[in-house]
Amino acid sequence: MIFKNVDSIEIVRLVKSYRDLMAINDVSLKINGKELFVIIGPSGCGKTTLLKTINRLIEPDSGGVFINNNDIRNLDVVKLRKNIGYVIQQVGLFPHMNIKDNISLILKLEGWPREKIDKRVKEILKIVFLDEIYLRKFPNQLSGGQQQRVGLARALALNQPLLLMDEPFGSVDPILRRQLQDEFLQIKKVLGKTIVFVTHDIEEAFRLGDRIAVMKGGKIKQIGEANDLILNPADSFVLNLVESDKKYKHISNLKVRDVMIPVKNYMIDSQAKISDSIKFMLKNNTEFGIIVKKDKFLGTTDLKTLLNSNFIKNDQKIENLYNKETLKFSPEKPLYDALAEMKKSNISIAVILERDVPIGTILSSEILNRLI
Amino acid sequence: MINLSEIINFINFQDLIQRTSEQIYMFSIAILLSILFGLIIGIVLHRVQKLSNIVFNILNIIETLPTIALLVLLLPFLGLGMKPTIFVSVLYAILPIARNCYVGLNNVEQSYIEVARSIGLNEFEILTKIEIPLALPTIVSGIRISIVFTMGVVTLGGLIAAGGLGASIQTGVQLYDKTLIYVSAVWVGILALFFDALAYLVERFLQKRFNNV
Repeated sequence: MIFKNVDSIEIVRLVKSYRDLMAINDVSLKINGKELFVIIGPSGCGKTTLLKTINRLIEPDSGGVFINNNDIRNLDVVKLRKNIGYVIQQVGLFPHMNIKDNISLILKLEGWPREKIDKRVKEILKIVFLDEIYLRKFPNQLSGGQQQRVGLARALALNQPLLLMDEPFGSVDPILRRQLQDEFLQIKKVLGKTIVFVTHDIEEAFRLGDRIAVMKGGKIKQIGEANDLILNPADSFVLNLVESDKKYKHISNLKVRDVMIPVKNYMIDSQAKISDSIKFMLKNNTEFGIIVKKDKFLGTTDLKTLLNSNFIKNDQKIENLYNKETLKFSPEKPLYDALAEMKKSNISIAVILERDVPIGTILSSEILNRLI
Repeated sequence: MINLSEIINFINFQDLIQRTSEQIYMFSIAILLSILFGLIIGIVLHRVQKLSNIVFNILNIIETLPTIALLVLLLPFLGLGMKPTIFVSVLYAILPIARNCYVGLNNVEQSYIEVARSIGLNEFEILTKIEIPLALPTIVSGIRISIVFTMGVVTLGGLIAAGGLGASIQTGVQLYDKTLIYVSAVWVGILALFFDALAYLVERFLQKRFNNV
């Protein structure tokens, strides 16, 4: 392996044109190690071209790609590719080889001994949720979803630190796609690899991506986390893309009241002891609390602060230790404005008050996940 | 009624076993050389696409020349006998093999090659592990066509003292021995069908193996 880990991929001023078509028009971006970086855009936007420059299936006209600060042009191309797994929509399992040979082809060419190959194949099969009975079968005997799992297994065979995926779930039906995405999220956790993922499906981008780059006409329109794209779309193109996911179409019509969650499990009386408050939070599996005095809102607290207070020596009342600076919204406030305000002030919790009585709360992290 | 000993006498008198072995000998060498050169040409042209037009045009022109004319034209250079016969057979049989090899390799789905390249196969490994195996059914159909061609050309070698069953047919024509003509001609046909059937079995096996390509 040239790289044991991929800590960064830097794409610098990349240009690639085909005759008069600019497939990639001066793109620069940085992908962090261990993140799942999604490139999304309509067909012909250059996303696949961009992906292929990373394993040098396509050589750019100018600009460069740097992995861990190494210019990949200076690396042996075959060695480079052996460090990078690659999964495509058409899967491309070799039809003249059975599943085992498909997965282990590269291991054989690398000269691994037979027992080591067998062991590795079994390991990967477990990772991609495939049963060993498929090893002797041929690709055409497998369903689309199974083929895609084998494709992933093949891309993982050498335990490559970087994985490139080009619409891997693009050709399966929506239900199976969802299932494969769920599996993939689990696989991703296990593997801890850097992954670059191309898709045209915004829902998939939101579900899988740590960060998302929106591409159009060979240019990057915006890079950010899902909530950046939703809350601060850079232009009308990003806005349309985000809203093309039906769930966001009405986000501008939603009020805080529509999405807030009940406060029963968060309410702590100001007279409660700190130790009791901690117990209460642990019991409810919450990480923060809303302090009330005779039902009126006083402030908030969070588990970390409480645990860090020396409550063992000095188990005082919670009313002596709470945070007054909290975001408070009326239930009629537009959700969009509320989320924007939370993002701006970098506070992830807001309390919804009606005549000073807490009636609900919103957590920015939770709310986006719920909408997605 | 013809009895068995008469048949055996006939075969012995006309040296049919000798002739048959000459026929198969020339045929085998010719077809093996054709396969060898055909595959090399097909693979080279697949890699150097620019050359394909001119090379196939030349092979096509050779294909249009009458076999007998070619045999006679080569007399001053290669003389009489097996050598020129095998040479001309190969000239004729290369085209179907080279063309099918070229087309078969070109038709291998691009995604397989892209995946192979991306998982770190070098160009030679892509050719031997992916492209040739996937093109094999097409290549074998080309070989089948060449088998029939070659059997025909080798038989014509009888005209230039190459021996083989063509010589038996010649003898039959000279002596106006209808039985000998029929027997030799039918026997050539049976041999052609036999080798064709053999290739057919290989082809079917390969197609079964690759039926989703």
